[in-house]
Amino acid sequence: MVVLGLVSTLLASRAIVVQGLDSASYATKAAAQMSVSRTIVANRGTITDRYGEVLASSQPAVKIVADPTQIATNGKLPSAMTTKDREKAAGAPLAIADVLVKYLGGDEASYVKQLTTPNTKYVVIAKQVQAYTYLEIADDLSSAGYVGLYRETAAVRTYPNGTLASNILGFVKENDSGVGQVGAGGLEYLYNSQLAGVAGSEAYETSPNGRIPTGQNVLVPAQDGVTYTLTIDAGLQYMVERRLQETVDQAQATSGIAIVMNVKTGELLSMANYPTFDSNSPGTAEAANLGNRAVTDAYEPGSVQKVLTMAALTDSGVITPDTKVVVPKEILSGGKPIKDAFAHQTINLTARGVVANSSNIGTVLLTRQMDKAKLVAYLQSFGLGSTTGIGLPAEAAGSIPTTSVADNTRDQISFGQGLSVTAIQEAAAVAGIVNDGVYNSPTIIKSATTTQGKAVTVPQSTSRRVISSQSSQMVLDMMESVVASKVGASRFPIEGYRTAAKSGTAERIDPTCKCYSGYVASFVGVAPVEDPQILVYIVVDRPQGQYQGSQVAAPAYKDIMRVALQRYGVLPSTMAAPVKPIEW
Amino acid sequence: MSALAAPRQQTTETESPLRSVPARVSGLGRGPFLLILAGVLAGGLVLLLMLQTAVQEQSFEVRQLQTKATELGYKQAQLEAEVQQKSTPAEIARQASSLGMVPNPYGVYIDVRTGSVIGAEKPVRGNEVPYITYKTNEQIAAEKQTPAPQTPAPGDGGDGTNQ
Repeated sequence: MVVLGLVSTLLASRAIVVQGLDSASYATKAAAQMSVSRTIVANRGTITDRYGEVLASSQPAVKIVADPTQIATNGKLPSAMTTKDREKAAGAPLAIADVLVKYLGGDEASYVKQLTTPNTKYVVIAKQVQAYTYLEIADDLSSAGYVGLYRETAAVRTYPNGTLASNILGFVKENDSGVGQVGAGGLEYLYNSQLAGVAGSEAYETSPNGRIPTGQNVLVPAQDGVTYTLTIDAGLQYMVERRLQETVDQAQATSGIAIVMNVKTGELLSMANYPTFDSNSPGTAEAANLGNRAVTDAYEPGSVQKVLTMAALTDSGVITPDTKVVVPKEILSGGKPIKDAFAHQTINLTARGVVANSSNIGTVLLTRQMDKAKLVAYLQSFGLGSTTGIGLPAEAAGSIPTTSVADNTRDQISFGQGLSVTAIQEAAAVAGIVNDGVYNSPTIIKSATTTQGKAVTVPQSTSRRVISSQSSQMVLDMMESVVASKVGASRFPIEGYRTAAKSGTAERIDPTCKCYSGYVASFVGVAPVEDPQILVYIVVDRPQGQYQGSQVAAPAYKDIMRVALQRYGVLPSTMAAPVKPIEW
Repeated sequence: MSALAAPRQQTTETESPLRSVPARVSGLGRGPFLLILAGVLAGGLVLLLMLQTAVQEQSFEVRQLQTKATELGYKQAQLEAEVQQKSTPAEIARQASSLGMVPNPYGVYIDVRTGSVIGAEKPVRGNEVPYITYKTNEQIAAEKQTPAPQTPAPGDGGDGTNQ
């Protein structure tokens, strides 16, 4: 009786301590044991082309890891293993390796080596495996009675087109925590926070039998990343990239850029770089090829710049296409002679003829009639010397002289030396000049929406008049004469269309020796002249052998423009190009 | 004597609101009452148990279905990835080439109002735009045996790829 009383007293005391004095602490411990919380990873947003073609998307994936220690005994306690168990465990590495080969490919021997790594319980077998593929592997192993493979959840970013538009899209890498991915280049980098979305969470109560149905359950859903739609046309981009590759390879050049732009809107239909890389495996590429040269690299544009110079001269009333110029065989600038690429004695050219023959001397003589500060102001209005705001990372501004530019520098910039531009700046400037004089800042992102369909703000094109409509027509007149010129007539015309173009060949500054070394060959063209809609600009860096823009870059321009006109349903011209005087 | 009639004496008798209490019906005894109470309690417990069991079963079913949904989600994602892969321009070009199709860079237009053709129709040989033409291994092997003619298409003055 006494013992019973003592026991009862002890139990009652303990109950008072547990329930009364220290209840909060115990309740907290119990809740912690029952409560489970997990992070719900947000799906990274998709990037598509202008027609919805998927360029980048995320898939549920896993990292497959193995426990070699467990595989060695096939999950049995060594002391409790029968002879049959030992025989099965001995064959486990090979059997598991066969299943891995079946679903993941690869070499059976290397899998066996990983699965039998001594003194470890953790070996990474494969990363970024489709989640469903892992389920199939797990099913096969379960049916065969093998254990020891596990998964760690991680999403995989896939770029189904591989190298296509990779310099625009960029790439992702594992984030510092090892879970999830973070943009590390291109649009993936610049819009990482919007693409990544916001992770959610789920907290619930469990028992040894699993989740408690009537327990507390708090779910904060993940907000998936924003979907971006680009202005790029994947089909055209594919063709442009292949044609650019052929151009660069044939010219044995260092690199190349190709841009196709909608003249009316400033939208980029294609922006290609070569050499390039595969966004699925950026680690295998050279670092120099991971960027987007069309926006990051500034270069001296050469004679394509004459289009901008003539736009400034016509708009300021200094010249018309029929203005007469006496062009000597050379002129002095800063004490040094300036010559033309073609040898000649004194010739009489119209301003149209200066452009058609790409005469440096004629361009300098005409530009000297214009106020220097005014010329620089025109270059600024064309978008040179400042970033275009296209919405791509690491965009360079290039450089143009100040209004107090030296006379010899003024002479140089008139024909495209002594200043630097990016390909996107130059393409947008020419597009603005031929677009009835209205400049549209280039855009590459068409729209962006959340998973709820709500629009997200993206960089918008801004428009401004840079030259008059009449001046625009005069520049087109001069550019059309390039296509009709002796050199151009056999190489540049596109059957059925009136086109306007300009080639460029610039000596290339080598930053290491700060001297000119090699060339930059380029070619820009627009069509149709009656109502320009498509612009194609090709830049080839350091071609070997032939180095002139009309030889190296023009063929690619012609092929790309022909396909682009057809693809966008631009009707052929109804009239032939008028013949206008280039000499007098 | 008065001629008036003497007032009639009013009776004081009124109907009583009280009723007699009916005789008490003899109820359940203490024993049966406790028995019923116990029965109700037991029934309630059984019902609760059944309810709990049903909830557990349904919870288990929900988990199974959620697992199934996740697996199907994985399957859907894999199939979508395959579709994306098969609809890339490169893959379509490859498939088209394997069917013997060649790109035609000389498209013409039809004015649907008049039915007239705008542009010049021109046959293609298949070598006009080699940079967007994929060749299967079989095609490459066949070409090695019988080299294809390299003559440019009529009217294609100065095709850049030949330079």
